[in-house]
Amino acid sequence: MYDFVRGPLVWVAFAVFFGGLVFQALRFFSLTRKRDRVFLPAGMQRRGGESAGPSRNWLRSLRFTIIGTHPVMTVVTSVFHVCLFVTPIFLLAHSILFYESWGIGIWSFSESTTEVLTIVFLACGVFFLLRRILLRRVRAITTAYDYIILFVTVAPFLSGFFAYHQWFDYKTMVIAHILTGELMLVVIPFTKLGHMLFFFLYRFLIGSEYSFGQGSRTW
Amino acid sequence: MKKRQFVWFLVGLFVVVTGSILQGQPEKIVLDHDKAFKKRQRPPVVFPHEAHMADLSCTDCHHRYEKGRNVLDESELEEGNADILCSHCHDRRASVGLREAFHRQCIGCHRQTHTEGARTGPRLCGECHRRG
Repeated sequence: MYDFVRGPLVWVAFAVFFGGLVFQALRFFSLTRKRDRVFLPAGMQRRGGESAGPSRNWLRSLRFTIIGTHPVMTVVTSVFHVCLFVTPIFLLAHSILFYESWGIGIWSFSESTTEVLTIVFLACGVFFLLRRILLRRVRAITTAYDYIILFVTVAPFLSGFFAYHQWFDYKTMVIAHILTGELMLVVIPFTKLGHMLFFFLYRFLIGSEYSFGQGSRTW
Repeated sequence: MKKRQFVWFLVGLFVVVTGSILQGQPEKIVLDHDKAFKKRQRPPVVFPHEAHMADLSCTDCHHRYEKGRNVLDESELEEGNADILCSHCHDRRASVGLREAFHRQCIGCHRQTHTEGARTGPRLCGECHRRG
């Protein structure tokens, strides 16, 4: 089992992950290529320069963004995403496995640092879970799918944490850790987790759409 | 700290004095290299030396390579000879550091033996670096 999840399945997971991301990016570009001209009523047409470019009081205008309206959520989600990327990449054990297989190892944090990052990440995960359960307006738009996606994201970290501390059966936990990691990689391009890619595309699309694109991709 | 050093001194003295009757190999060795690993990341490995002696000859592991050949004389392999310790050559300046030397030697062999279909030792991090 260990040989299978660490061997062929890793290749499959990464192939689906990168292949899926490329596929989705290409699909995005092909779907947005057609330019629908949207004619806004006269009064709604924006004049150039009004909204584009940084405002003089950009710091004050932050109050109207998510940073101002939901500061706690902004901080938690930022920390969550930083830990999500930084922890596995700069993890000593991963680096050693990489070195064993490829002869290249990258710099990594000490294991105690990684442990802190993992705990912070898991705490953010618990925050998201409680938020979904306790906040009425969030609960109203939450389905089982959201819980599953949250679980898929948190599971590799939780199992990694358990494996690191050698709680329960160590070998089973390591296999669970590798499997959940691979599961996450595989589902990223095809689920809500696709925001890893689409976040950046949408930022450009929506930005250009509302300023000078008039309903289509202009870049 | 002083007390601890004194205890180790006594242990050392005991080993030296009784060395003649302790010719046998130690059953288990704790690979505990305080000098090489100043800040240890994982618990030290308890290496079952005796378990390896049944199937392997000494120079399968112990080595001194010259021009790609292991020229180590087995008679050098006696307890107390500092020259035969892995850390004697595999230090910070060596191309293969101490951590990598252990990893290559242990996991490399375990992996190869496993591929050949025979029963072998652990290959997962925590199976050697055991906690508590």
